[in-house]
Parts: sequence; C-alpha cells; structure tokens
Amino acid sequence: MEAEVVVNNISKRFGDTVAVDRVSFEVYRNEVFTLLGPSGCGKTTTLRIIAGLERPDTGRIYIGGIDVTDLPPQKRDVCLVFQEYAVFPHMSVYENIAFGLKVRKASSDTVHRKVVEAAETLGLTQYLSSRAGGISLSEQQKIALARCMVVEPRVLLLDEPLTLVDARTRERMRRELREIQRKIGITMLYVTHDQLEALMLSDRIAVMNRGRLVQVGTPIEIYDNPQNLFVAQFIGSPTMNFIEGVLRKYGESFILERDDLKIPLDNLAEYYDLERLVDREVVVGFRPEDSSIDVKGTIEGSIELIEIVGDKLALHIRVSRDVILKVYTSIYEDISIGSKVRFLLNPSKVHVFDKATGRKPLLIGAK
Amino acid sequence: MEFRIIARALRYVVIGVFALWTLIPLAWIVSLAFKSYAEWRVSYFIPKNPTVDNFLLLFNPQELLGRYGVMGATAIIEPATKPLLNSLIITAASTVLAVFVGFFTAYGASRYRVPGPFTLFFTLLTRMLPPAIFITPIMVYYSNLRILDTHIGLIALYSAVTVTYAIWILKGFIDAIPIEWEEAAMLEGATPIKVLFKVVLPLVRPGLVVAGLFIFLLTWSELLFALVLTNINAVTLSVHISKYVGAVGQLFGPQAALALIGSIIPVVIGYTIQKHLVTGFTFGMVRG
Repeated sequence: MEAEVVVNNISKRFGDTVAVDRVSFEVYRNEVFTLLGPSGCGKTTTLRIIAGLERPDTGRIYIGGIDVTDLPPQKRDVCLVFQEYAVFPHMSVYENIAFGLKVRKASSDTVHRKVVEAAETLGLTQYLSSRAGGISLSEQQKIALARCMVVEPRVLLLDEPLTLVDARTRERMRRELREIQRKIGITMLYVTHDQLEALMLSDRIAVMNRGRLVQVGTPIEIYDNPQNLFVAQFIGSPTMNFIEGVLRKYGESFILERDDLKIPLDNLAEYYDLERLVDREVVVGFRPEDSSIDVKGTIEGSIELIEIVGDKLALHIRVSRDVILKVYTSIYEDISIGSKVRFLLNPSKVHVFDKATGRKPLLIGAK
Repeated sequence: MEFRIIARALRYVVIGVFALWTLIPLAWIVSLAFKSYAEWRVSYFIPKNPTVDNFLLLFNPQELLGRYGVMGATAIIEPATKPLLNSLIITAASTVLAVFVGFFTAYGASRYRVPGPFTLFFTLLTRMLPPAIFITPIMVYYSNLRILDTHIGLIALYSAVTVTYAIWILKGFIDAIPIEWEEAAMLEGATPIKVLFKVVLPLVRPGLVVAGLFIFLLTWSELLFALVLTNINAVTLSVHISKYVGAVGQLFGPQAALALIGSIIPVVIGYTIQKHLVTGFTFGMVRG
C-alpha cells in the first residue's frame, strides 16, 4: 500500500494549550481514513495542518511523497470540505463548482464538462443555475464536495461535513459519500466526533484524545480491540460496561475485587499477561452484547431495569452496591425486575486496563 | 382612548415641525431658483413670473448678466460648467481612491495581526481635530509642491482624509465574512490575490457601496479646503456657488439654481445604487 499522506511527528501549540502532540500516521491511497475524537482533541487542527492552513511547530507533512510542510495550501494538491460556510453565497451553484477550475485557468470546455460531470455524480444537476446560498444545507455540502472533486486533488479532506445536517439526511449522506468515494476512488481524510459515522465510513480510524493519537486501526479493530481505556470508553453505543477494582492473585487465579464483588478473570489470563497488574487498580470492560444470561454464569446480580432494544432486551443488572451492568439477552423467561440472574462474559471480548495509565496489558507471547 | 389620540397628534406635530425645519430651506431654494431678479427679496414661495434665466446664467454668464441690474453688471463670473466637471472628477476620483485603499487596509486589519504599538485606531487621529487646524500647513506644503489649485491636490487631500471612513466601514463588512470561504478558495487553488478579488471583494460589495456613497457625499459638499486650496483651475461646485457676488450683494437666483443642480446629482447617484444598499442589509442571511 502506498502512503498518500504521511504525517510525521507534528505538534502544534496555541498559547499554553497543546492542540496536537507528536502525532504521526499515514493515509494510504484510495482509503477513507478518519480522525475521530471528542471536540478539542486536536483532530481539526491536524487536518488544518495537513491542508496548510496552520503551520505545525514541529514535524513534517508529506503528500504524494513530497514534503509540503512549507508549501501554501494551494500548492499541496489537497482540497477541504468545511463543516459550514460550504458555498460562496454570491455565486450560482455552477459558478461555485467551477471556481477551482476557473482560478486554475482551465479552458471553458473543460470547466463545463467537469462541472456537469461532478453535478451528475452528486445529483446536483437540477440546481446548477440556482443561487448557492438559497438551497438546503445537505445540498450545500454536496456542492462543497463537487467543488473539491472537479479540481481532482490527490487527497480530499473533510472537516465534520455532516455535523450541521439533520439526522435523517446525515445517514443518507454517509451512505452516498461512501458510494461516491468508491466510484471516483479518491483518498479521503475525514474528521468527525461521531463514532458511528467513523465506524460506518472508514477503512481505518485514528482515535485522538487531548492532542495525541491513541489508536489507529480498522473499524473492527477499534471496536473489538480497544488498546486503551479512552478508546474503550469512547467507541460503542451503548458504551461498554466498566468495573473498577483491584486485581488480586490467589494461587493461580486472578480475581477482580471491588467491595463485596469478586469477578474471576482466569479466562482473561489466557490472553493477557496479567502478572504485572496484580494488586493494582484496574478497569475491566465488556460490551453488553458480549455477555449472556446463563445459570452457570460467574457473576450474579438483580435486575434493576429492563429496556427493549429491537429484538432483544437490555437488562440493567445490579451486581454490587454501586455497580450496574448492562447485559443483552433474547431469552424472555424468568426475567422480571428484582429477580436474580447469573451471567457469563465472552472471555475473548473482555478488556482489562490499568486504571492509572489506561493501557492494556500485553498479550501473552508478545514482547 | 383619548390619551392615544393626543399621543398620536403630538407625534404628528413633532414630525411636522421637524419636516418643516428640514424642508423649508429646500423649498426656498427651489422657489428661488425659478424666481426672476425682481422677486428674490419677496416672501412668497410660488414665483409670479417663473423663469429659467437663473439656470441659463450658470452656463452663459456673459450674455445674461445684463438682466440682473447693478448686481449683474458688477459681477465677474465664469460659467459653472468647469466647476461642475471639476467636482465630479475630484469627488469620483477621491471616492474611488479612498474606497480602494480603504478596502486593502481594512482587509489587512481584519485578517492579520500587526505587531507593535500602531493600531487601526490611529487612523482616527486626523478626525479628532477641527479640520481648520490643518489648513495652514497644508497650504504651505501644497505651495511648495506646486499643487495648489490642481485636481491632484484636492484628490490627494480628500482621499487621505476620507480613507478612514472607508477603513472602518469596510472592516465591519470584512469581519463578517467567515474565513472558511477564503480558506476553501485557497485550497481549490486560488492565490491570495485571487481570493481577495474573487471571494472577498464580491462579498463586501454592499460595503463598498455604503462606504463609497458616504465618502462621495462628504467630498461633494466639502467647502473649507476647496475654498482655500483652489483659485481658478480646480474650483469645485461648492466654491463656485460663493462666487455669485456683485458689488452690492449676492446673486441669490443663480446660487439657488446651482445649489439645486448640486443637490440633484447625489440624489440621482444614491437612487441608482439603491439596490446595492438593500443587499447591504440582507448580508449575513446567506445561510437561510
């Protein structure tokens, strides 16, 4: 795989705040790469540095193998779709899309051909002669996309382009965006705080927090195998169940202890090197779908609340004085509020993190 | 109920008094412009023998001054054509120059931070003293530069003084333009100059119109500097009006006629650019 964008160790401060802290990653050709994180995590600043709208304090940016760190935005062969103010209000839709070609002095035949082509791809043909300021936000975002498409940049940058669009349209636009990307085969660097959007659109996701890159991986890796407590907390809807406690070792068994609650983690010890976490504060996390009600279950609790989620039930189970866990089940018998149930965790889907560092223990066999 | 009627009546009285206060001098000028020499000093509005002599005299003084008695016989007056043209040229040129320079200055002030103690506020300094203070030094400068009584002299002075207004009016308009539009244009390949001319300039067009009109009106009616700095060649309209003087008094009729012409021109200009002013008010509603 060829790297289209290489971000090498960039940092950026604004006054006392470190917006981007030693971030490095690569974006491969024709993939959708997403920077995901809560607001203020530095993802937009990173994007703006790549676009050339901000200068990094340290680090280099390479686009298409060329060091562009000192080049102005118009010489970087990238284009950016903004969150808002996507279109020039004083121009028609046609003029908006044609803008990039006209400032590059393309011949009028080329301009016309490319504008019409882009408008067809994005379903904007009917709007071409309307004034751009007057049409709906979702169409405006498409115009912004078309404006970038016609100049055929090496990399298309998108800064939360769907945030201002209403929920229903957003879902449709995500799908359309993915289809368009496949059709024209362009490299996309996408920025969003919306994890569902990132999981749906991306080939790879880079999760950022407080200016740092915390994990890079495919959506499945990010979802199934968070390397870090922050990623585990941030990804997934509903969020993971978390139990904080101290890891103890009795003989050969590992137990998570919290007040009167004891959860055996022997299964986990088959995967992870837990020795180093013994007697330390840890956080154990699992997703509601990675547990099941079972009479042989290792954890017991009483049902506090029953939620209907599509074809299954989400049981809120109180397992200790101040720990309530969410477990999915499709078995309806013997389920009522107040009744006692036991449940099992899928051992390969249980995650343990060091509470202090947020890190996962090493896999067994890893160095 | 009664209170509301009284309040309403009072409001009309106030508006009426204000309207009369403003409009009577105007009406007087209109009336005077069409009155014959004999009627100038009588106090009725509608002329008994309406005449256009006053207007004709403006452009052909030599032949018509005879009709104005002693006053006409003792007056030395040039035709008003040249002052009219002078005013148009000087006002138009200094307005364009002020708005042009003001636009770039305002853009710089709005988008960039200049280090050091010099801020945009300093451009207001020239506005803090009575203009009369500047007259003597400027006369000396102009005399040394040999630009007294020239178009270029007045244009330079007027644009230098009014550029402040252009800067402050346009800065407001430029501040209101989201930077994203400029950034988007840059990323699509536009150089900074193209961003300025293709994106910023069209977007602040209402601002240019507002600033231009304001400066045009200020400059058009300026008297003090023009009076001091011109003599024959670069005489402006406002100065020329003061020249209708005979040995025993002023030629009110031609003065009124010229004043009327001088007021109609800005009104016509204002009217023709009205639609741009309206876009000025709807600016900022682009997101619908």
